[in-house]
Amino acid sequence: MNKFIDNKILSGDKNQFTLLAGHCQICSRLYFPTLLNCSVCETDLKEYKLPKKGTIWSWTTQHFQPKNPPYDDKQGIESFQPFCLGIIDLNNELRITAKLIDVTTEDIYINMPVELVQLPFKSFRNGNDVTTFAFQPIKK
Amino acid sequence: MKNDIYIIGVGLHKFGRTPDKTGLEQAKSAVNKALKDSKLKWQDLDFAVGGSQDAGNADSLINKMGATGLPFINVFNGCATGGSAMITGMNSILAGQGSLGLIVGFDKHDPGAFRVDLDKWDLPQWYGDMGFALTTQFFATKINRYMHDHNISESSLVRVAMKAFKNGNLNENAWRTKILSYDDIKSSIMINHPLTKYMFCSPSEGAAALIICNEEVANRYPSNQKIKIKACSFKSRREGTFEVFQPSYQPHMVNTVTKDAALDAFNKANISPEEIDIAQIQDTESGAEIMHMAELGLCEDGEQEQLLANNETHINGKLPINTDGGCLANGEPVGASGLRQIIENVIQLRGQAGKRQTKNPRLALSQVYGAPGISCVSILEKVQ
Repeated sequence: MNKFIDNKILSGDKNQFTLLAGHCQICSRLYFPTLLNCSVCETDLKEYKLPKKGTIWSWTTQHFQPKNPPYDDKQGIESFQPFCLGIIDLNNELRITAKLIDVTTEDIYINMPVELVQLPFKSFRNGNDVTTFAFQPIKK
Repeated sequence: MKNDIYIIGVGLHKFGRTPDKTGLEQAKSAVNKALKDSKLKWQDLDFAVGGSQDAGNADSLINKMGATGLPFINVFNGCATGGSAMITGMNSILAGQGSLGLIVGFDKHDPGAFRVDLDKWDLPQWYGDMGFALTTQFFATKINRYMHDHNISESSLVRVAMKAFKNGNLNENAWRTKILSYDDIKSSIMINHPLTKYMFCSPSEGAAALIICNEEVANRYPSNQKIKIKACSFKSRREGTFEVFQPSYQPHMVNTVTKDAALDAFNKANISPEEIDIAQIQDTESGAEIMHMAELGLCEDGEQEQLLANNETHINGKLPINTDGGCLANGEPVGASGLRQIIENVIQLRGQAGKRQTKNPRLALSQVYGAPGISCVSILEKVQ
Protein backbone atom coordinates (compact mmCIF):
# COMPACT_ATOMS: atom_id res chain seq x y z
CA MET A 1 0.00 0.00 0.00
CA ASN A 2 1.50 3.29 -1.08
CA LYS A 3 0.39 6.62 0.32
CA PHE A 4 1.25 10.17 -0.72
CA ILE A 5 2.65 12.70 1.75
CA ASP A 6 -0.44 14.84 1.09
CA ASN A 7 -3.30 13.91 -1.26
CA LYS A 8 -4.02 17.59 -1.78
CA ILE A 9 -0.80 18.02 -3.74
CA LEU A 10 -0.22 14.60 -5.33
CA SER A 11 -2.47 12.17 -7.15
CA GLY A 12 -2.11 9.02 -9.21
CA ASP A 13 -0.27 5.75 -8.69
CA LYS A 14 3.24 4.34 -8.94
CA ASN A 15 3.42 4.72 -12.71
CA GLN A 16 1.37 7.78 -13.43
CA PHE A 17 1.25 10.69 -11.02
CA THR A 18 1.03 14.46 -10.97
CA LEU A 19 1.31 17.48 -8.76
CA LEU A 20 -2.03 19.13 -8.14
CA ALA A 21 -2.74 22.82 -8.03
CA GLY A 22 -5.97 24.78 -7.84
CA HIS A 23 -7.01 26.78 -10.91
CA CYS A 24 -9.35 29.74 -10.94
CA GLN A 25 -11.47 29.63 -14.07
CA ILE A 26 -12.18 33.33 -13.93
CA CYS A 27 -8.72 34.89 -13.49
CA SER A 28 -6.58 31.80 -14.36
CA ARG A 29 -4.53 32.07 -11.17
CA LEU A 30 -2.87 28.87 -9.97
CA TYR A 31 -2.51 27.97 -6.30
CA PHE A 32 -0.09 25.37 -4.94
CA PRO A 33 -1.12 23.96 -2.57
CA THR A 34 -4.70 24.63 -3.56
CA LEU A 35 -7.02 26.79 -1.43
CA LEU A 36 -10.75 26.59 -0.80
CA ASN A 37 -11.33 29.35 -3.30
CA CYS A 38 -9.52 32.01 -5.32
CA SER A 39 -8.24 34.74 -3.03
CA VAL A 40 -9.09 37.37 -5.66
CA CYS A 41 -12.30 36.12 -7.34
CA GLU A 42 -13.58 34.12 -4.33
CA THR A 43 -14.83 31.38 -6.69
CA ASP A 44 -14.18 27.64 -6.25
CA LEU A 45 -10.89 26.39 -7.64
CA LYS A 46 -10.74 23.55 -10.14
CA GLU A 47 -8.19 20.77 -9.75
CA TYR A 48 -5.31 21.39 -12.13
CA LYS A 49 -2.47 19.05 -13.04
CA LEU A 50 0.82 20.94 -13.03
CA PRO A 51 3.36 20.34 -15.83
CA LYS A 52 5.69 17.45 -15.06
CA LYS A 53 8.67 19.12 -16.67
CA GLY A 54 10.33 22.37 -15.77
CA THR A 55 13.61 24.17 -15.33
CA ILE A 56 15.60 25.10 -12.24
CA TRP A 57 14.96 28.81 -11.53
CA SER A 58 17.35 28.69 -8.60
CA TRP A 59 18.76 26.11 -6.25
CA THR A 60 20.60 25.58 -2.99
CA THR A 61 21.65 22.81 -0.65
CA GLN A 62 20.55 21.87 2.84
CA HIS A 63 23.67 20.87 4.75
CA PHE A 64 22.38 20.75 8.31
CA GLN A 65 19.51 18.72 9.70
CA PRO A 66 16.50 21.01 10.18
CA LYS A 67 14.90 21.07 13.62
CA ASN A 68 12.10 18.64 14.44
CA PRO A 69 9.36 19.79 14.47
CA PRO A 70 8.56 20.79 11.82
CA TYR A 71 11.14 18.64 9.98
CA ASP A 72 10.24 14.95 9.98
CA ASP A 73 13.48 13.44 11.25
CA LYS A 74 12.20 9.87 11.20
CA GLN A 75 12.12 9.48 7.45
CA GLY A 76 14.21 6.32 7.50
CA ILE A 77 16.80 4.41 9.46
CA GLU A 78 19.62 6.35 7.84
CA SER A 79 20.86 9.53 9.42
CA PHE A 80 20.27 12.92 7.83
CA GLN A 81 21.95 13.38 4.46
CA PRO A 82 22.48 16.84 2.95
CA PHE A 83 20.25 17.40 -0.07
CA CYS A 84 19.74 19.76 -3.00
CA LEU A 85 16.54 21.69 -3.47
CA GLY A 86 15.36 24.17 -6.00
CA ILE A 87 12.72 26.59 -7.12
CA ILE A 88 11.34 24.84 -10.20
CA ASP A 89 9.78 26.89 -12.96
CA LEU A 90 6.92 24.81 -14.41
CA ASN A 91 6.50 26.02 -17.95
CA ASN A 92 6.20 29.61 -16.76
CA GLU A 93 2.89 28.70 -15.09
CA LEU A 94 4.07 28.47 -11.50
CA ARG A 95 7.31 28.11 -9.52
CA ILE A 96 7.44 25.62 -6.68
CA THR A 97 9.94 24.55 -4.05
CA ALA A 98 11.09 20.95 -4.50
CA LYS A 99 13.80 18.52 -3.58
CA LEU A 100 16.28 17.73 -6.36
CA ILE A 101 17.70 14.23 -6.79
CA ASP A 102 20.42 12.72 -9.00
CA VAL A 103 22.32 16.00 -9.04
CA THR A 104 25.54 17.21 -7.44
CA THR A 105 26.62 20.76 -6.73
CA GLU A 106 29.11 20.34 -9.58
CA ASP A 107 26.65 19.46 -12.32
CA ILE A 108 23.55 21.39 -11.26
CA TYR A 109 22.90 24.75 -12.94
CA ILE A 110 20.25 27.47 -13.23
CA ASN A 111 17.86 26.76 -16.15
CA MET A 112 18.67 23.01 -16.03
CA PRO A 113 15.70 20.98 -17.44
CA VAL A 114 14.18 18.71 -14.78
CA GLU A 115 11.22 16.33 -14.49
CA LEU A 116 8.90 15.23 -11.72
CA VAL A 117 9.62 11.90 -10.00
CA GLN A 118 8.27 10.01 -7.02
CA LEU A 119 10.49 9.79 -3.99
CA PRO A 120 10.09 7.38 -1.08
CA PHE A 121 9.61 9.58 1.97
CA LYS A 122 9.02 7.19 4.82
CA SER A 123 8.67 3.44 5.19
CA PHE A 124 6.80 1.50 7.85
CA ARG A 125 7.11 -2.15 8.88
CA ASN A 126 3.49 -2.77 7.90
CA GLY A 127 4.32 -1.70 4.36
CA ASN A 128 2.30 1.51 4.44
CA ASP A 129 5.05 3.51 2.80
CA VAL A 130 4.71 7.24 2.22
CA THR A 131 5.75 8.77 -1.08
CA THR A 132 6.60 12.37 -1.87
CA PHE A 133 7.79 14.25 -4.94
CA ALA A 134 11.11 15.47 -6.25
CA PHE A 135 12.62 16.62 -9.51
CA GLN A 136 15.56 15.08 -11.37
CA PRO A 137 17.51 16.07 -14.49
CA ILE A 138 15.80 14.96 -17.70
CA LYS A 139 17.77 11.99 -19.02
CA LYS A 140 18.92 12.48 -22.58
CA MET B 1 6.54 70.66 10.52
CA LYS B 2 3.75 70.09 12.97
CA ASN B 3 3.55 66.35 12.33
CA ASP B 4 7.27 65.63 12.57
CA ILE B 5 8.34 62.92 15.00
CA TYR B 6 11.73 62.80 16.70
CA ILE B 7 13.88 60.28 18.53
CA ILE B 8 15.22 61.82 21.73
CA GLY B 9 16.55 58.78 23.58
CA VAL B 10 18.12 55.45 22.75
CA GLY B 11 19.23 52.47 24.81
CA LEU B 12 20.69 49.11 23.90
CA HIS B 13 21.37 45.98 25.90
CA LYS B 14 24.38 44.12 24.53
CA PHE B 15 23.51 41.59 21.83
CA GLY B 16 24.75 38.01 21.92
CA ARG B 17 24.33 35.66 24.84
CA THR B 18 23.51 36.87 28.38
CA PRO B 19 22.77 33.65 30.29
CA ASP B 20 22.13 35.37 33.63
CA LYS B 21 19.39 37.69 32.33
CA THR B 22 15.96 36.95 30.90
CA GLY B 23 14.85 38.76 27.77
CA LEU B 24 12.58 41.01 29.83
CA GLU B 25 15.48 41.93 32.12
CA GLN B 26 17.56 42.84 29.09
CA ALA B 27 14.62 44.94 27.86
CA LYS B 28 14.42 46.71 31.22
CA SER B 29 18.09 47.59 30.97
CA ALA B 30 17.65 49.01 27.45
CA VAL B 31 14.57 51.01 28.52
CA ASN B 32 16.39 52.50 31.50
CA LYS B 33 19.28 53.55 29.26
CA ALA B 34 16.88 55.18 26.78
CA LEU B 35 15.08 57.02 29.59
CA LYS B 36 18.39 58.21 31.00
CA ASP B 37 19.56 59.31 27.56
CA SER B 38 16.44 61.46 27.19
CA LYS B 39 16.49 62.60 30.86
CA LEU B 40 13.02 61.20 31.41
CA LYS B 41 11.32 58.93 33.92
CA TRP B 42 9.07 55.95 33.21
CA GLN B 43 6.17 58.01 34.61
CA ASP B 44 6.69 60.65 31.90
CA LEU B 45 5.70 58.30 29.07
CA ASP B 46 2.27 58.59 27.43
CA PHE B 47 2.34 55.14 25.81
CA ALA B 48 4.59 52.21 24.96
CA VAL B 49 4.85 49.77 22.06
CA GLY B 50 6.92 46.61 22.23
CA GLY B 51 7.55 43.22 20.71
CA SER B 52 9.36 39.94 21.25
CA GLN B 53 9.09 36.50 19.68
CA ASP B 54 10.52 34.19 22.33
CA ALA B 55 11.18 36.24 25.46
CA GLY B 56 7.74 37.10 26.80
CA ASN B 57 4.99 39.63 26.32
CA ALA B 58 6.42 43.11 25.96
CA ASP B 59 3.77 44.64 28.23
CA SER B 60 4.99 42.43 31.10
CA LEU B 61 7.67 45.12 31.40
CA ILE B 62 5.20 47.10 33.50
CA ASN B 63 5.94 44.61 36.32
CA LYS B 64 9.57 45.65 36.20
CA MET B 65 9.21 49.34 35.34
CA GLY B 66 6.08 50.37 37.22
CA ALA B 67 2.35 49.80 36.89
CA THR B 68 1.43 53.37 36.03
CA GLY B 69 -1.62 52.69 33.89
CA LEU B 70 0.47 53.33 30.78
CA PRO B 71 -1.17 52.03 27.57
CA PHE B 72 1.30 49.38 26.37
CA ILE B 73 0.66 47.76 22.98
CA ASN B 74 2.33 44.49 21.98
CA VAL B 75 3.25 44.02 18.32
CA PHE B 76 4.80 41.14 16.43
CA ASN B 77 5.82 40.79 12.79
CA GLY B 78 8.57 38.16 12.76
CA CYS B 79 12.04 39.50 11.99
CA ALA B 80 10.53 42.89 11.12
CA THR B 81 8.99 43.41 14.59
CA GLY B 82 11.25 46.42 15.26
CA GLY B 83 9.77 48.08 12.19
CA SER B 84 6.18 47.45 13.17
CA ALA B 85 6.85 48.69 16.72
CA MET B 86 8.36 51.87 15.30
CA ILE B 87 5.53 52.64 12.90
CA THR B 88 2.88 51.80 15.51
CA GLY B 89 4.52 54.23 17.92
CA MET B 90 4.67 56.96 15.28
CA ASN B 91 1.02 56.42 14.39
CA SER B 92 0.11 56.60 18.08
CA ILE B 93 1.58 60.08 18.26
CA LEU B 94 -0.10 61.15 15.02
CA ALA B 95 -3.43 59.79 16.27
CA GLY B 96 -3.20 61.78 19.49
CA GLN B 97 -2.48 58.93 21.90
CA GLY B 98 0.19 61.12 23.44
CA SER B 99 3.24 63.20 22.72
CA LEU B 100 5.94 60.94 24.18
CA GLY B 101 6.28 57.20 23.79
CA LEU B 102 8.57 54.22 24.26
CA ILE B 103 9.42 51.75 21.50
CA VAL B 104 11.04 48.57 22.77
CA GLY B 105 12.08 45.25 21.25
CA PHE B 106 13.87 42.31 22.82
CA ASP B 107 14.43 38.61 22.41
CA LYS B 108 16.21 35.54 23.64
CA HIS B 109 16.37 32.66 21.15
CA ASP B 110 17.66 29.12 21.44
CA PRO B 111 20.89 28.43 19.53
CA GLY B 112 20.56 27.18 15.95
CA ALA B 113 18.16 28.06 13.15
CA PHE B 114 14.69 29.30 14.09
CA ARG B 115 12.18 26.56 14.81
CA VAL B 116 9.22 27.27 12.58
CA ASP B 117 5.63 26.79 13.72
CA LEU B 118 3.95 25.88 10.42
CA ASP B 119 0.44 26.84 11.51
CA LYS B 120 1.56 30.30 12.56
CA TRP B 121 3.00 30.94 9.12
CA ASP B 122 0.12 29.28 7.25
CA LEU B 123 2.39 26.59 5.79
CA PRO B 124 1.37 23.01 4.94
CA GLN B 125 2.68 20.09 7.00
CA TRP B 126 4.51 18.44 4.07
CA TYR B 127 6.52 21.62 3.54
CA GLY B 128 7.91 21.29 7.06
CA ASP B 129 8.19 17.48 6.93
CA MET B 130 10.38 17.66 3.84
CA GLY B 131 12.73 20.22 5.37
CA PHE B 132 11.74 23.38 3.49
CA ALA B 133 10.59 25.53 6.43
CA LEU B 134 13.93 27.28 6.78
CA THR B 135 14.51 30.95 6.09
CA THR B 136 18.13 30.15 5.23
CA GLN B 137 17.07 28.23 2.10
CA PHE B 138 15.06 31.18 0.85
CA PHE B 139 18.00 33.57 1.16
CA ALA B 140 20.33 31.05 -0.48
CA THR B 141 18.10 30.47 -3.51
CA LYS B 142 17.46 34.19 -3.84
CA ILE B 143 21.15 35.12 -3.86
CA ASN B 144 22.09 32.18 -6.10
CA ARG B 145 19.68 33.44 -8.76
CA TYR B 146 20.78 37.05 -8.19
CA MET B 147 24.45 36.13 -8.63
CA HIS B 148 23.54 34.38 -11.90
CA ASP B 149 21.51 37.34 -13.21
CA HIS B 150 23.83 40.16 -12.13
CA ASN B 151 27.35 38.70 -12.20
CA ILE B 152 28.00 38.79 -8.48
CA SER B 153 30.84 36.50 -7.41
CA GLU B 154 31.45 34.53 -4.26
CA SER B 155 34.11 37.07 -3.26
CA SER B 156 31.37 39.67 -2.71
CA LEU B 157 29.64 37.34 -0.26
CA VAL B 158 32.91 36.96 1.62
CA ARG B 159 33.60 40.70 1.63
CA VAL B 160 30.24 41.56 3.19
CA ALA B 161 30.94 39.18 6.07
CA MET B 162 34.53 40.42 6.50
CA LYS B 163 33.28 43.98 6.85
CA ALA B 164 30.57 42.94 9.32
CA PHE B 165 33.04 41.35 11.72
CA LYS B 166 35.50 44.22 11.28
CA ASN B 167 32.76 46.68 12.31
CA GLY B 168 31.59 44.34 15.07
CA ASN B 169 35.10 44.51 16.46
CA LEU B 170 34.62 48.27 16.94
CA ASN B 171 31.28 47.86 18.70
CA GLU B 172 31.21 47.07 22.43
CA ASN B 173 27.56 45.97 22.15
CA ALA B 174 28.17 43.44 19.35
CA TRP B 175 28.21 39.67 19.80
CA ARG B 176 30.81 38.53 17.28
CA THR B 177 33.78 40.83 17.60
CA LYS B 178 36.56 38.65 16.22
CA ILE B 179 37.98 39.82 12.91
CA LEU B 180 37.86 36.99 10.36
CA SER B 181 40.03 36.62 7.28
CA TYR B 182 38.81 36.06 3.72
CA ASP B 183 39.76 32.39 3.98
CA ASP B 184 38.18 31.94 7.43
CA ILE B 185 34.84 32.94 5.91
CA LYS B 186 35.18 31.29 2.51
CA SER B 187 36.31 27.97 3.91
CA SER B 188 33.93 27.75 6.87
CA ILE B 189 31.38 24.94 6.56
CA MET B 190 28.72 25.18 3.87
CA ILE B 191 25.23 25.82 5.24
CA ASN B 192 23.09 26.45 2.16
CA HIS B 193 25.03 26.82 -1.09
CA PRO B 194 26.55 29.37 -1.83
CA LEU B 195 26.43 30.54 1.79
CA THR B 196 28.91 29.32 4.40
CA LYS B 197 28.62 29.46 8.18
CA TYR B 198 30.19 32.89 8.67
CA MET B 199 28.02 34.41 5.94
CA PHE B 200 24.94 33.77 8.09
CA CYS B 201 23.71 35.57 11.18
CA SER B 202 22.43 33.50 14.10
CA PRO B 203 19.44 33.95 16.34
CA SER B 204 20.76 35.62 19.52
CA GLU B 205 19.66 37.77 22.47
CA GLY B 206 19.44 41.46 23.10
CA ALA B 207 17.18 44.46 23.61
CA ALA B 208 16.75 47.91 22.11
CA ALA B 209 14.65 50.88 23.20
CA LEU B 210 13.85 54.28 21.73
CA ILE B 211 11.98 57.29 23.05
CA ILE B 212 10.01 59.13 20.40
CA CYS B 213 8.07 62.38 20.67
CA ASN B 214 6.30 65.09 18.75
CA GLU B 215 7.77 68.43 17.71
CA GLU B 216 6.55 70.24 20.83
CA VAL B 217 8.43 67.91 23.18
CA ALA B 218 11.44 67.77 20.86
CA ASN B 219 11.77 71.55 21.11
CA ARG B 220 12.90 71.09 24.73
CA TYR B 221 15.97 69.17 23.57
CA PRO B 222 19.21 70.48 22.08
CA SER B 223 19.63 69.92 18.33
CA ASN B 224 22.51 67.48 18.77
CA GLN B 225 20.28 65.19 20.87
CA LYS B 226 17.13 64.86 18.77
CA ILE B 227 16.98 63.05 15.46
CA LYS B 228 14.09 63.55 13.07
CA ILE B 229 12.24 60.57 11.62
CA LYS B 230 12.02 61.80 8.07
CA ALA B 231 9.99 58.82 6.84
CA CYS B 232 9.02 55.30 7.79
CA SER B 233 7.28 52.85 5.48
CA PHE B 234 6.08 49.37 6.32
CA LYS B 235 4.91 47.07 3.50
CA SER B 236 3.93 43.46 2.99
CA ARG B 237 4.64 41.54 -0.21
CA ARG B 238 2.55 41.81 -3.31
CA GLU B 239 1.52 38.92 -5.54
CA GLY B 240 4.36 37.94 -7.84
CA THR B 241 7.30 38.53 -5.52
CA PHE B 242 9.89 36.00 -4.40
CA GLU B 243 9.74 36.15 -0.61
CA VAL B 244 10.37 33.86 2.33
CA PHE B 245 8.03 30.96 3.32
CA GLN B 246 6.04 30.46 0.15
CA PRO B 247 5.55 26.92 -1.24
CA SER B 248 4.91 28.41 -4.69
CA TYR B 249 5.50 31.62 -6.60
CA GLN B 250 3.90 33.36 -9.54
CA PRO B 251 6.48 33.53 -12.34
CA HIS B 252 5.53 37.06 -13.33
CA MET B 253 7.58 39.11 -10.94
CA VAL B 254 6.84 42.54 -9.56
CA ASN B 255 8.91 44.77 -7.24
CA THR B 256 10.12 43.06 -4.08
CA VAL B 257 8.54 44.22 -0.85
CA THR B 258 11.77 46.01 0.11
CA LYS B 259 11.71 47.93 -3.18
CA ASP B 260 8.10 48.91 -2.50
CA ALA B 261 8.87 50.07 1.04
CA ALA B 262 11.95 52.01 -0.10
CA LEU B 263 10.13 53.81 -2.92
CA ASP B 264 7.40 54.81 -0.49
CA ALA B 265 9.87 55.99 2.16
CA PHE B 266 11.90 58.07 -0.32
CA ASN B 267 8.68 59.53 -1.64
CA LYS B 268 7.48 60.48 1.86
CA ALA B 269 10.90 61.93 2.74
CA ASN B 270 11.06 63.74 -0.59
CA ILE B 271 14.70 62.79 -1.10
CA SER B 272 16.52 60.51 -3.54
CA PRO B 273 18.59 57.43 -2.60
CA GLU B 274 21.81 59.21 -3.65
CA GLU B 275 21.38 61.57 -0.71
CA ILE B 276 21.67 58.76 1.86
CA ASP B 277 24.95 58.97 3.80
CA ILE B 278 24.84 55.70 5.76
CA ALA B 279 22.59 52.64 5.85
CA GLN B 280 21.79 49.78 8.22
CA ILE B 281 20.20 47.04 6.14
CA GLN B 282 18.93 43.53 6.76
CA ASP B 283 21.89 41.18 6.43
CA THR B 284 20.38 37.89 7.53
CA GLU B 285 23.23 36.59 5.40
CA SER B 286 25.83 38.22 3.16
CA GLY B 287 23.67 37.94 0.06
CA ALA B 288 20.74 39.75 1.66
CA GLU B 289 22.89 42.84 2.21
CA ILE B 290 24.01 42.75 -1.44
CA MET B 291 20.49 42.37 -2.84
CA HIS B 292 18.90 44.86 -0.45
CA MET B 293 21.46 47.51 -1.47
CA ALA B 294 19.98 47.48 -4.96
CA GLU B 295 16.38 46.99 -3.84
CA LEU B 296 16.72 50.09 -1.66
CA GLY B 297 17.99 52.08 -4.63
CA LEU B 298 21.42 52.61 -3.06
CA CYS B 299 23.11 51.13 -6.15
CA GLU B 300 22.29 49.44 -9.45
CA ASP B 301 21.91 45.67 -9.75
CA GLY B 302 25.39 44.25 -10.23
CA GLU B 303 27.19 47.38 -9.09
CA GLN B 304 27.73 45.80 -5.66
CA GLU B 305 30.64 43.71 -6.94
CA GLN B 306 32.76 46.80 -7.59
CA LEU B 307 31.54 48.72 -4.53
CA LEU B 308 32.53 45.82 -2.27
CA ALA B 309 35.85 45.23 -4.01
CA ASN B 310 36.70 48.91 -3.39
CA ASN B 311 35.56 48.79 0.27
CA GLU B 312 33.04 51.54 -0.45
CA THR B 313 30.60 50.15 2.13
CA HIS B 314 33.21 50.24 4.92
CA ILE B 315 33.06 52.90 7.63
CA ASN B 316 35.43 55.15 5.65
CA GLY B 317 33.84 54.38 2.28
CA LYS B 318 31.48 56.31 0.05
CA LEU B 319 28.40 54.56 1.49
CA PRO B 320 29.01 52.93 4.89
CA ILE B 321 26.65 49.99 5.45
CA ASN B 322 25.94 48.15 8.70
CA THR B 323 28.41 50.23 10.64
CA ASP B 324 27.69 48.36 13.91
CA GLY B 325 28.37 44.96 12.31
CA GLY B 326 24.76 44.33 11.27
CA CYS B 327 22.96 41.07 11.97
CA LEU B 328 26.10 39.13 11.06
CA ALA B 329 28.07 40.50 14.02
CA ASN B 330 25.14 41.16 16.36
CA GLY B 331 23.03 38.11 15.72
CA GLU B 332 19.31 38.46 15.33
CA PRO B 333 17.07 38.74 18.37
CA VAL B 334 14.07 39.34 16.14
CA GLY B 335 12.14 41.67 18.46
CA ALA B 336 15.16 43.95 18.86
CA SER B 337 16.94 43.73 15.52
CA GLY B 338 15.14 46.45 13.57
CA LEU B 339 15.45 48.88 16.50
CA ARG B 340 19.19 48.15 16.84
CA GLN B 341 19.59 49.43 13.27
CA ILE B 342 17.71 52.64 14.07
CA ILE B 343 19.74 53.18 17.24
CA GLU B 344 22.99 52.80 15.30
CA ASN B 345 21.77 55.45 12.87
CA VAL B 346 20.83 57.79 15.74
CA ILE B 347 24.27 57.36 17.31
CA GLN B 348 25.99 57.93 13.97
CA LEU B 349 23.91 61.05 13.20
CA ARG B 350 24.64 62.43 16.67
CA GLY B 351 28.34 61.81 16.11
CA GLN B 352 28.61 59.52 19.14
CA ALA B 353 29.82 56.35 17.43
CA GLY B 354 33.42 56.64 18.62
CA LYS B 355 35.80 54.31 16.76
CA ARG B 356 33.20 53.44 14.16
CA GLN B 357 31.99 57.01 13.53
CA THR B 358 31.33 57.77 9.87
CA LYS B 359 32.14 61.16 8.39
CA ASN B 360 29.45 63.69 9.33
CA PRO B 361 26.32 61.86 8.11
CA ARG B 362 23.08 63.81 7.67
CA LEU B 363 20.66 61.23 6.27
CA ALA B 364 20.59 57.62 7.45
CA LEU B 365 18.48 54.73 6.19
CA SER B 366 17.52 51.47 7.86
CA GLN B 367 15.69 48.44 6.50
CA VAL B 368 14.40 45.39 8.30
CA TYR B 369 12.97 42.35 6.51
CA GLY B 370 11.01 39.34 7.69
CA ALA B 371 8.59 36.53 6.93
CA PRO B 372 6.16 36.24 5.20
CA GLY B 373 7.58 39.01 3.03
CA ILE B 374 7.43 42.25 4.98
CA SER B 375 9.86 45.13 4.94
CA CYS B 376 10.16 48.37 6.88
CA VAL B 377 12.35 51.24 5.68
CA SER B 378 13.10 54.25 7.88
CA ILE B 379 14.96 57.42 7.00
CA LEU B 380 16.39 59.56 9.81
CA GLU B 381 17.72 63.08 9.53
CA LYS B 382 20.11 65.05 11.67
CA VAL B 383 18.55 68.32 12.79
CA GLN B 384 20.72 71.18 11.57
